[in-house]
Amino acid sequence: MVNGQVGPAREDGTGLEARITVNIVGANLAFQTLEVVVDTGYTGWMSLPESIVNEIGFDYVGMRPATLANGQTIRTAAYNAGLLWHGQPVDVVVQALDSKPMVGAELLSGSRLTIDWWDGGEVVIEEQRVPASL
Amino acid sequence: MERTGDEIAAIGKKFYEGIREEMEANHWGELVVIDIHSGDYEVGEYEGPRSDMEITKRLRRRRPNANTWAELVGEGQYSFARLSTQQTMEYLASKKKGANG
Repeated sequence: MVNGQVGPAREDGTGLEARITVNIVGANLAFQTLEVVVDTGYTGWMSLPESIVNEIGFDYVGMRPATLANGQTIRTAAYNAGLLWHGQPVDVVVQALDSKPMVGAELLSGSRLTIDWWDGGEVVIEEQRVPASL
Repeated sequence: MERTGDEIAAIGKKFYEGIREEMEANHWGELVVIDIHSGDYEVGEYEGPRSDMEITKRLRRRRPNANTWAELVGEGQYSFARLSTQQTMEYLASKKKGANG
């Protein structure tokens, strides 16, 4: 289980976002704890600003196009990384992007996400066995 | 020397043009991941970002230092992921800030 909290999305206190902390492992094999925003509108695993990518040091694999919400296509550097998720190490792809650290739908695959959508509300992500009928 | 994203895309697209006919004949709808150093590539079924990760890993077993580009065969512009509204707004704001300062 992964726990977090809802808080203001912007510096002026407007908007809300759901935050959790994750343990991520870079090229030096040391775990780092990072606060990330959970955003189901992002279809990848994780995006991190270049400054954090450089600080942790990941295994660079190439360039990949990504689609902005306005339909525009940009190119993002892609990295292999390891994440501790529900107590297990999992392989993820990190995309370098100038925004807050975010995790998306691909990471949430196979989990149940519950958010109490108010400032200070609880965020809970539980591992779920996908029903056999699906 | 480190290459920019545009250079990597241009080299990747050039290599892809060289194999496009064969790919479209035999691998329509599949994802091809190309190493821009060697032109070596790996192709496989595409079902989302996880396929990209797995195909790239297979290529990197042969080419550990591969710098890769990917194309979805016959499907036009490939996108690894769709970014959210918040990611988009923050990205565009950072670009604007960069342009002004």
